Order: sequence, then structure tokens, then C-alpha cells
Amino acid sequence: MSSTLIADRTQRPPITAPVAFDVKLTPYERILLDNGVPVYVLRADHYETVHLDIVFPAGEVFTSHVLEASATNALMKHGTSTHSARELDELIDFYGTFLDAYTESQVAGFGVYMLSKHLPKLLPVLWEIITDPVFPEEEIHLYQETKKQQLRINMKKSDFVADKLMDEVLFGPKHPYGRYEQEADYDSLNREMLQQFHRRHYVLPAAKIFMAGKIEDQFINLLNQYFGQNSPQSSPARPVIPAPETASSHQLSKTIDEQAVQAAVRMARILPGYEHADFNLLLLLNTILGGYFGSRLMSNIREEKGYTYGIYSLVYPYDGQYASWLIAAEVGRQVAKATTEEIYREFHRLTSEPVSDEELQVVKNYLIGVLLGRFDGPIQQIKKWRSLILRGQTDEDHRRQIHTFKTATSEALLDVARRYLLPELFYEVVVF
Amino acid sequence: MIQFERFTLSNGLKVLVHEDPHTAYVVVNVLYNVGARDEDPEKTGFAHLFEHLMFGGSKHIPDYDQEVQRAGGENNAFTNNDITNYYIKLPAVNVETALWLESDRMLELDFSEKNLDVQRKVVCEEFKEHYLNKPYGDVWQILREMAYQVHPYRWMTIGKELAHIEQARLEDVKAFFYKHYRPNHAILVVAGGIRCQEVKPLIEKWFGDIPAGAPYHRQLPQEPEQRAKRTRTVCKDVPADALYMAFPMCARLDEAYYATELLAQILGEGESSRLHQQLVKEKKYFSQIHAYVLESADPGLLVIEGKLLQGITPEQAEKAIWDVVQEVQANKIPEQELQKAKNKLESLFAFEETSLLGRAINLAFFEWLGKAEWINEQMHRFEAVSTDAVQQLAQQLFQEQKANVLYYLSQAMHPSCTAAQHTDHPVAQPQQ
Repeated sequence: MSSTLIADRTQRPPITAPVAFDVKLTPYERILLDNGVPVYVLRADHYETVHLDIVFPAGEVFTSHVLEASATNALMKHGTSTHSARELDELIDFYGTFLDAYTESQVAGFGVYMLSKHLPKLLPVLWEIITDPVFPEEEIHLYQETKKQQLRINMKKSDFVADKLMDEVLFGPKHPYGRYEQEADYDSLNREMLQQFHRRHYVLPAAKIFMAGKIEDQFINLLNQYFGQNSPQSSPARPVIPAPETASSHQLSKTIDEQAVQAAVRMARILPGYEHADFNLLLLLNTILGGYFGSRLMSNIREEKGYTYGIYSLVYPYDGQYASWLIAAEVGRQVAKATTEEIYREFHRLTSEPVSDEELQVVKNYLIGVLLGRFDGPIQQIKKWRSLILRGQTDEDHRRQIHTFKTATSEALLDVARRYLLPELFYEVVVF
Repeated sequence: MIQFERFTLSNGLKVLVHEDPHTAYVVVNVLYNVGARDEDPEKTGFAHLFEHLMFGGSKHIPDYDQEVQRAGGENNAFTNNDITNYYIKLPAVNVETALWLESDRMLELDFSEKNLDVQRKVVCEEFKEHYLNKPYGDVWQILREMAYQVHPYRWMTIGKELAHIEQARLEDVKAFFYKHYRPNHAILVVAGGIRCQEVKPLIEKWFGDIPAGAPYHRQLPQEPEQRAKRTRTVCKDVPADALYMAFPMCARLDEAYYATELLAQILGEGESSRLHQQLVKEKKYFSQIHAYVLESADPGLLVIEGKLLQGITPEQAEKAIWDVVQEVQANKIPEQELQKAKNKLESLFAFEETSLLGRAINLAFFEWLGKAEWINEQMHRFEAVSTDAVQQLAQQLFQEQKANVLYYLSQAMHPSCTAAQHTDHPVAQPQQ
């Protein structure tokens, strides 16, 4: 086989820089059910699968008991007036359903992934789970026992313990973003608590529904028959998020295993949430610091020094007002201290020298290219829309974010680093 | 139905091109026919360590990752006991960048002492993070050594011990590269928003002149048939007792594979499965229990694993598992139950297919197994399995003399174990 094209391996092939790409989300179709519940739809007729997500204002922020929201959500599918837990498990599995019962800080709900052909049969089951769960005592008891054991196992994992401790350090042990579950919290769960939380928060008129994939019109009609029904319930009031009560000491160290061969190192601070004008620039700065494989932290602490299998940093928005900036790594026991020193050194570099044009270009191309790649497909797109819609944002906010990523200058990044990436604003947790 | 075209370059590189007009992205996937089973028993973990070295720069390209990121892409790789697989996902307009990168590191690596030194450390930290510094982390090391006595599946992909990784030398790296990383030992898949006629000349341009290597004749010691039950008890610093049972099963290409996978689904995949319903929900012996197959080119394992609830002895728990499997041996399962298992797999495959990366990896995998066309025949093979076949398989597979049973006990819950802290001691064969 002879080829007419000659490879010059010393020259990189020309690329189309992703910063030049037009980053648009595919517009959704918005259908209102009879009771006003919105259904956001992205159709893909060449698919055989469908994703359905029914979201309620039933997240962690609404509760005083740390497990009220998550236990309610998890136990809803364990028995209704007409079907036992076993019968429900059987029906869900028979139709090849992946049912994701989830609880987040603001919302909770049920995500479904399945073949479109089975969806009409599953829908009545889902409706039952959402509107008519009975929380059998036996199921609650089993849930308590199995979750307590899982917690005991997790408390032997340094990464799990470090993450929980850091939440508590940043926000305080009573704050919805800072508290975490103890075994006693499982013991104090009871049926009345779950029933009441379900009644107040899984309120049909407050639902939002997201769908993507192969969707037939008859399915929308069926959805309306069930989830479009009128209900006298009213939506729960939005809770007021209390001010964080951050720990006074900036350093916390804990040993859960004397013989540990690694330490879980965490460094973090609270940041303003997604409503703040600096938020998008902080996302970009975070990418440079520790948000991708070529980041400063990975290059230095893994690829130069070999202290860890992986180190990353993350900006996690809890709501419009609060986010956290977290750096995390599991490192060799002897290099825990050296790792935190190197992290501070990287802070210092980002606050004292502008990012080079070359590095900035690579990170922008990476970020735009990968973001686009992650929205490639209707299910991924509807998830992006879900995130915007639940925040009360529009595609205008999305465009603004992409615009920031494309046009940010090294001066702007230096300025934002000097205001947010200061060592004295960070907290350290190390768990052996 | 996944469509593709296939051709082979003169150096023996097999190529598959899959066009998907619905995406603007492309996946370039390279599978090398080498895994942990090809390692020297005194130098285990090498195939995986080598995978890390593939990112340390090649003959003409010092920084692989940075070039991927500049073109707006993401990349990663994995190694298992049978294969090593690399992939890049990036905008389709930049496909040539991926071909340039993959061909250059297939041509020749930059064999650097510094890169080897760092990656040895990184892999040692990976070993610690996943297998040492984690409750139950060493279970696969123990189970593999029980179930395999001569076949190289007796060690984990990460390696038998840290020392093997620490001792890796640059000359081993070079020898391994020229033995296994030649075009005639690789399968290239290009999948996504490209046209075969356009990408084929580019593939010839970048890969056509890479010299072929000597043929590799794999001669591995095959595992003799197990004729006696093997049992082992270990006591460790974990909060709950766990039970593991591994049974030898057929190779991936054996016709019995399909019934075996369905049997595992019926027994222990999902909340409606027999083990979960009978032993978690009814008897309340386990907090969680699963059954699954480890599919592999050479004969694999069907594994049942569970965590015991407090107060249940491992002997009781093992007996209860035998009762469940004996029921499947004695009585044919209902048609409906088999249909459920098939429905779950159908759904699973459909979701794998919605992902471009999933399609690319699976195409390479099936071509490696024998024929990429099989990707479209999987579901028919599963559909053809009868309830008789499942029953017969259960009878052959679940025999006492073919069982490998591991009691992984909590020191804290078995104080008499503390004398043997961190060591293993045998106990009397449990009664059936």
C-alpha cells in the first residue's frame, strides 16, 4: 500500500482552534401539562432510548434533620399502597430500567434511563412511587441497618472522612452544606418524618420534568394523564440559607489508621456562588490550577514529583450565593506536608505571574472543546438545560459563560487570582 | 446496528472506521493486544506501568497531553488482564492531530529515565490508593491467588506487589515496547463525524510507514480444572464481615458465556435479583449482595460477594448462598425471570451504544476478540438462551469442589482474630 501523503512528524497538523467554535445549545421544546407542570423536551428519533428526570424542591436545604431528604427519596420506591417493595423492584427491573433516585442540596427526584418502548409501562409505576409511597416500617429498619454499616465502612476511608471534615470546617456542623450524617442520625429517622417530608415536598405542581431521546407523542399524553393532574398542594417556601460558621483554626489533622500508607489532603475555601460576577472567571482560573490533566497541580505534584496518582481542584457551586473551592489528593504519607507546600507554591505563581499566552490558549481550547464534547448528544444537552433552568438561568447565561472562557485575558486572571487565591483564606484538612 | 468499514495496512495494523453523522466529534481508539496476563510472574504490573509511560512523550512529540488539549480534546487509557486501550475524543475537524499523536507513539517512545522514575512513583501511589489504603482493598489479590494457581490471571493488573513496580528498568520498557506495541499487534478505530474515504488516506499517511514487529505467540499456562473446594479466612481492620465466593467459568468466546452472564444477572444484579430479595430483604443476613462475571479471554470467574449484617456468622451466610444457588439448580427459573435479565442487558447495550466512546471501544474490543461484526450479534446470542440452558449451567458451575470461598472478617468483631493481626490463618472447612 503506497500513500501519496507524506507524514512530517516534526510539524503538528493544522488545527481549528475550538475557541472559534460556535457553542450553542439545541433549543428545547417546552410543553405544559394540564396542571402547569413544564416538560422540557429534546427529541432524537434515531435513538431507541429515553431519559426522563422528574425534579422536586425536596433537597437537603429544606430539612433540619441531616437524613430527612435523602432517606425520604431513597425509601419512596420501597412500597406503595398497591405494590410491595418486592413488586416494585420486579417491575422496575423487568422493563430494564436504570432508576436513579437522587437527592441534591436544592432538589431531589427520579432519573430514568430505559428503552423507549417500555416507558409507557413504567410510567404508572413511577407515578405511584412519587405520589403514593407508604414507607413500611420494615423497609425503614432495613435501610437504617444497611446504611449504618455502609457509613462505618466509609469512615475507614481517609478520602471520605477528609471530605466530610472539610464541609464541616467551611460551613459549620449545623449548616446544610456543612453537616454530615452520624450513625445516631439513622436511628432517629422515623416514618412520620418521612411521610411529612414527602407530603410537603413531592408536590406535583412544583415538579419540573426533563426528557431526551426517542419520545413519541402518545407518551406526552400519558405523562399528562398522570403528572398533569391537579393537586391542591402548594409548593414549599424557599428556605433561607444561614450564614456559614467557618472553623476558627485553619488546620485540622486526624488519624483514622495508624498504619496508613497515604494521607488524604484537602485544601478549601468558600467562594461566591454562580450569581457573582467573578464566578465564570474563577471557573477558568480553577481549570488552570487543577481542573484538567495539564493543570499546574497535576503537572507539578503528579507528573514532576510523583507524590500522587491524582490531584485536582474543583469549584462547586451550592447555590447562587455560595460555592466552595476544593483541592484534593491522596498522597504518600511522608509527602503530605511537601504536597501542601507545593500547592501554596502554585497559588503564589498564579498570584504573582501572568499566565503565558501559550498556556492560556491551550486551556481555552481544551475547555471549549471538552465542554462542547460533553454536550454532544440529547441526554447530555438536556442535563445542561436542567442545570440552567433549576438555577433560574437561560441560554443567555450559558453564552456569557462561554464568552468569558473565550475572551479572558491573563491580566483578568491575575486580578481574580490576587483576590481569591490567597493562602490565608484557605483551610487545610489532612487525614491519615 | 453499528456500521463500519474495515481495512488493514501493509504493516498489519487493523483499522475500523465508523461514521456517525449526528456528531461533530471523533474518537480515535487504539487497542494493543497486551495485558497483565502477558507479564513475567516476577515483573507483574508492568503492562499497566507501561500504559503510564505512553503519555511521557514520543519520538517527535514531547508533551502528548498538551497537544490533545490544544486541539480541544480529552484522552485516557486503561489496562486489564487481557488488553491495553487508549483513546482520544476531540472535535472531528482536528482528527489529524489524534492520528499524528497515536502514530508517533506507536513509532517510537521517548524512553526517558526521568519519566520512568516519576511514573513508578505515580503507579505506586495508585496501588496504595486503591488496594492498600482502603477497607477490603486487597480482596482481589487474595481471591485471584485462590482461584488461579498457574494462569497469570492469578495477579491483579496493578501487580502483585509494590516491589515489582519499583524494580522496573528502562531496558524492560524498551523490550516490552518492541515486543507488544507494534502495528501488527494493534487495532485502530476511528469513529464519529468523519467520512471513511476522507480519513483513510490520513490513516495511511500517519501509520503506513511504522515497521511491523515480530509475530507474538501467546503461550500461557492454562488453569487445570479445580477439583477441591478452597477456603480461606483473613482478619483485617474492617468494620464488617464480608464473604466472597468465586467459581471458575468459561472463556469469553465460549457459547456458555451468554447463559453465565444471564445466570449472574438473575442471581445477583439489581434489587429484584434472587440473592438480594432472599438474603437482604427476607433473611436479613446481608446488607448488600451481588453476583457478577469477570469476563476474560481465558476462562474467567463468576463471583458472589456480600457484606454480612451483625450477628450473622460467615458459615450461616455461606450456607444461605448455597441454598439460593441450589434452588436454581433444582428448579428451572420462570420464563418471565429470564426475560427480565435479557431486558436489562438489552437496555444496557442500548445505552452503551448512545455513547460514541462506548461504540469505539466496543468495536475495537470485538475485533480483538475475533470479529467486530459480533457487536451487532450480542443481543441475539443472549435472546437464544433458554431456561433449560441456565439450569444446566447452574448445575455445572455451582459445585462444591469448584468453589473458592473467602471469609474476610472484621478483627473488631472477632477478638480471637486479633492475635493474628494482619496475618492470615486457615480455619476449618465450613460445613455444608
